[in-house]
Parts: sequence; structure tokens; C-alpha cells
Amino acid sequence: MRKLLLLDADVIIDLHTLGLFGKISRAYDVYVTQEVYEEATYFKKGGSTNPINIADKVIVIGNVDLEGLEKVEKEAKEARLVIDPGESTSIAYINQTEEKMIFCSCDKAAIKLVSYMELEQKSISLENALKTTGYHGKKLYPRHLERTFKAAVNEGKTLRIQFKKLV
Amino acid sequence: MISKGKEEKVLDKRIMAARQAAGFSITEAAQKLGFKNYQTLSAIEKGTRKINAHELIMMARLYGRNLDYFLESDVAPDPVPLWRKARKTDVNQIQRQFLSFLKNYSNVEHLLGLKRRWKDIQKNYDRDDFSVNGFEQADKLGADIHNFLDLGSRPSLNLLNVLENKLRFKILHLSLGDGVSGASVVDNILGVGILINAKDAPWRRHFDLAHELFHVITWNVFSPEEIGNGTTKTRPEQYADIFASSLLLPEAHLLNALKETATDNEIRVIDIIELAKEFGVSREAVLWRLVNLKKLKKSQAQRVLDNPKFRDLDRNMRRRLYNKDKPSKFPSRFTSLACRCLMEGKISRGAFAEYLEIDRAEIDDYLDAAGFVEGNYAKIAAA
Repeated sequence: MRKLLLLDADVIIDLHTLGLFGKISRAYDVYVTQEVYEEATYFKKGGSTNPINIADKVIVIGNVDLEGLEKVEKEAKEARLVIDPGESTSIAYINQTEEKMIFCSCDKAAIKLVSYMELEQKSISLENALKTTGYHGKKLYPRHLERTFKAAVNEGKTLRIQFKKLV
Repeated sequence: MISKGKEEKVLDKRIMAARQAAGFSITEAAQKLGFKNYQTLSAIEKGTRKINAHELIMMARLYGRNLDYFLESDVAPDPVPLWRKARKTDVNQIQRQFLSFLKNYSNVEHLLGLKRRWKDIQKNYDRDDFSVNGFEQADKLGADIHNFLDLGSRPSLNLLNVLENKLRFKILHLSLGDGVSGASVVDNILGVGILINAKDAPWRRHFDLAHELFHVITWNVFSPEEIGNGTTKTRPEQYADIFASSLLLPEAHLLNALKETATDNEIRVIDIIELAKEFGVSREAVLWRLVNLKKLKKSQAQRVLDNPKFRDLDRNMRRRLYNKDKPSKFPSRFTSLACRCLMEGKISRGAFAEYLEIDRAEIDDYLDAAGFVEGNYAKIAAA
């Protein structure tokens, strides 16, 4: 099965809120880093708070290199972006792993950094990830859409030109 | 690279320094970090056991540090705040929380390219200004700053807002124990930070804020040793009180209000309480200010203060105010800037949640309540 790394806890929370996590977990081997796994604790729906329990639906990554994390933090600083440690470990893992894996995020700053680090080829918007599972519904937030994702990728490329002087 | 040779030792040292600065013993920290025993943490701190990314992140969170503190080769030393506290109160953990807030606030300012303005208020004062007639100088300074900041006739109503927005001070309200009333720090990287005890009554908080302002203005005039930590009333501390009193109770406005309140040129007990309410300060502050302005004798003020009925009357009249004016922990400017950074994709949702100490599942509700929803953020016109 295809491998998908969910880059941050928001994707997991949003998928639960929209009732779409099952679709993703059936279509992909879902990976999350230890930090992201611990951050995704509950989601809100219809005024109530519901626990997230994905222990048997995801593979938790615990072996992220410190060197990789250091590189991500350095690149983020260079690009004038601030991301949280959970997202940093996910990007560090994507950068270090030799497995064929794509990753998905709906966070603008994280996508910009991914693009800044020239990892956008390995990434996918939530809208497109869901399309590959056969879901074509409109029940998505603006941050999940392909066009929002592409705009963030382009902003990351602009930062790359600005701060790395590279195209 | 951090994992080799000299830099690995730097990481080990930083881990230990961060724990100590946060006020954790090695046993306490090991327990909170989920290690089976303290020896594991001890080995990490000695550099005999390699640390992984997950463990480092747990430590960063527990010790209130950003990852760059551990991973960068050059890190500026922590600035040392001036504390107003009781002798034995341990402030290590509060100090870390305070400095961490300042760091986050500086980050969002930096990301948005905002310049600091606090140096506007640090005039060229030196020791000579206070060596002769220091009390008069402090009083005059209070009046000058009142004018400079354009604080109006009831300064306590505006002071917080003016310091936050005009001078871009970073003011944090934390619920602290009785042993701590506040702290201040001036740092070239972090800017000016003031910590106020949110549990204190509003009039006490106003006075503390004005008091800390004096220390900020005279940061380079008095040494920390001269100022002390608030356990004894050193000379600079006395100046700070005189300054605060002059700033919050401007002579002309106070005397005008007194003229309108007092009947037949006689000051009654109730007048003092009314004035204190009106100016947002304590009854003691009003009484001593009137003594300084030679409208009351010291013995008269002391007699009023020693009267238990006066205390009870004041307490009863202001009880409602005490509960009404609870300050929010983070300044509204900080939350707005953090929202802007998030909407512009300069910080991630995770970092935003950490900065504002909210859960990730609450972010959308938070943004909604603050007015930062997608629709409101759509561009109206090109600037």
C-alpha cells in the first residue's frame, strides 16, 4: 500500500472533524511522528469534544535523527518561518528516509518550509490525498484545498529565491 | 553538526543549564520527562548517552525553551530580570515562563518586521540626576513621563495600553503567589518586559506597572545590587514609588479632583477612598501623595491608615472592582500579532497554539473569536 505521512496534528484533527480519517487510513499506510501522535488528542464537533484514538490505524515514527531536526530548524530560521517541533520532526523524517513516501499538510507555514527545502515533490494537498481515495466531496476547509496548497508552495519558492538566491 | 565533538558537549551543557534555569532538580525533571530513573537524564547531561529528537523536544517543552536554544552554536545568555518579591520566594520557573513569553513575542515582532520603540523613553539620565534631591528628581521624572506619554487626567486608565502599544513594552500578567508582585527586564534582543501579578487588586497592579516603568527608564542608572529584589526599600525602590505616585496622581489633576470632592475645604475619610477609586490607585498612594503635596501632615495620614474602620470601608467599597477587572494573561497586541503571523503563514498552527497556550483543536474557535477568519483577511485593495 502507498505510504502517507501526516505532517501535523491539524490534518488528523481536521480529518476526524470531517469524518474522513477512515478513508485515508484505508487507502494508505499512515505514518506520524511521535510528537504529532501525542499532539492529536481530541477534535471538536457539534459543540462536543471527542477523543482521537488512532493507535491501531497509524505507524508511529520515533527514530528521527537529531541532525535532521537541526537542519530543519536552521532552514526555518533562514526562511523566517516558525514551525512547531512536531512539524519539524515530520519534515526531518521526510528528509532522512529513503522509503518512498509522500506527506500531507494543511499548514501554510509548514508547506512554505517544505517548498523552501525543495521537498514539495514529495508532498500532497489534503484535497488531492482524499481524491486518490475516491472522495470527491466539497466538505473541506480552504486550507485543505489544492489551490491553497499550491499558493503556499509558490510562496516557499519565492522565499527560496529571496533568501537562498536559488530558483 | 551537533552530534560530534565539541558541539555535542555544548548540547549536554545546554540541557543541564536549561533544567537548572527552569528550577528542576534532576530527579524531578527525570520523572516529568518519563525516564525510569534519574541516571538516564544524568547520563544525557554528562554526554555519555545519546539523545534523540523526541527526548530533546520533550525537554525543550518542559524547560520552556525553543529548540534553537539547544541546537544553535551561539546563544545569547538569558537576561536577568529585576524582581519585586519576598526574600525566600523561588522564581526560577516563573522567570523561565516570563522569558519564554518575551522570546515568542520578539519572534512575532521580528517576523512582521516591526521595530522596537522602547528606547524613546530611556532618556539620558545618569547618577548625578539622583545624587542630590533624588526624591524631587523622581517626582519630576514622573510628571515629565506623564506628559511625554500623554496619559491624561486619570493615567491608570491608559498606562497599560500606552506602554503596550505606543512603546511596545511586553507586559505579561501571571497569577503568582503573595510573595511576588512583579519584575522587569530590558534587553537588546527581547526588548522591554514587565511581569505583573494578576492576582493583585487593579490599583496595586497599576502602581506596580508604574513602579516597574521607573526601573526600565533608569535601567542603566542603578545597578541591580543597589535596587535589590524588593525585600527592602532601597533608595532606588523609594524613588520608584515616588515616581509611580507622581505619574499616576498628577498634581494638577489630583488637586482639582480634591477640590471637587472635599466640602468646606475639609478632607474626609470617604474623600480619600473616592479619589483612590477615581485614580485607580490604593488609598495609601493617595494619602502619601497628599502628604508629599503638603495637603496633609504625615501624622494625619498615618492615623487614617491605622484606623481599621477605614480599611474595612475601603475594602467593601472596592470589592466589586477587584473582581471586575481581571487582566488577560497575554497582551492583546501579542495575540493580534500572533494571529497575523498565522494568517500570513509565517508561523505554523502548532507554533501558534504553543505561543498562546491553547490546544490545537481550539485554534479555529480562537481565531474566530479574535476576528481573524479567512473572509476578514481577504485583501480589499492593493496597498
